[in-house]
Amino acid sequence: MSSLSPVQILSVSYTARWWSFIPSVRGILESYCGHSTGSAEFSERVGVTVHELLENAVKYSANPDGLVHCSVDLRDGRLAVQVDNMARPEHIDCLRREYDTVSSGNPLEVYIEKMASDIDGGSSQLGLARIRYEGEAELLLSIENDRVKLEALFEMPDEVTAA
Amino acid sequence: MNRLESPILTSDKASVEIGYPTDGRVCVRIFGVIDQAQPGKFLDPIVDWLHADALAHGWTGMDLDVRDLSFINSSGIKSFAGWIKKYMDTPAEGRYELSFIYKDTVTWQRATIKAFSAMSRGTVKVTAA
Repeated sequence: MSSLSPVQILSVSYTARWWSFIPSVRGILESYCGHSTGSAEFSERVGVTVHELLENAVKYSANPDGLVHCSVDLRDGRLAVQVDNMARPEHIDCLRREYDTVSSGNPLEVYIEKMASDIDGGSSQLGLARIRYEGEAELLLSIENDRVKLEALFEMPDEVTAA
Repeated sequence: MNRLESPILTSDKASVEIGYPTDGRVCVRIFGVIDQAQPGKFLDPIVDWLHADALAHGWTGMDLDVRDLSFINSSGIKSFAGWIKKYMDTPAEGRYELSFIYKDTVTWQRATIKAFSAMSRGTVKVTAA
């Protein structure tokens, strides 16, 4: 039975200009989780989550040359994916509202409601809802001045916890 | 009747193939990866064209095969959701049957196609294959 190794699994920073970095980080993390847990389903859930978090960070970064930071840790038996970036006040307010909406309802119902809603300013507004529903992750938001951090927490697959 | 002019069916990472069998149904295969910053620029014209073309020519059904679409971001999913909304807003009489063919072993396909079916209250058919 395989198990995850050290506490910090991944830490990467890049500027918001590098959209092309996002699929690379997803690929690295999916590969790691897949090999470490033996669960393709778990690795895909983590992969889609980190992808959506990074897309949001890049899209809403206050400065295209500002750093987006992503770290992945194993903490208290759960996998924690954190993404943080600097953001403008209006985007922070929007994020707070989205987070409250997504966190409070049934994940599938919120996801459907978001899919059915009109696109606002070219943004899908689906990412956080997708993380909760498809990623099956708990989301935590913290804001300090103009720095935003979103954390997605995953229960480890049964195959790992039974080891 | 002349065919409506088709939009561009290939992007840097994804492509769309369209087949016209003789049974009145259109087969649309979407494959590759959709993770661009604005996938709607590629997908939305295709969605609009397929929908309009199906109605104009009276196709009985359209099967969207996403089994070889290995990843799609939420912005791309929004394009498909927009199609479902457009489809639901079309009067049922004369409307083609819309269905998705997906792989149950691919997490995003299993989760999101199920959500499409729920969003359409079962009007959009889904098949795991």
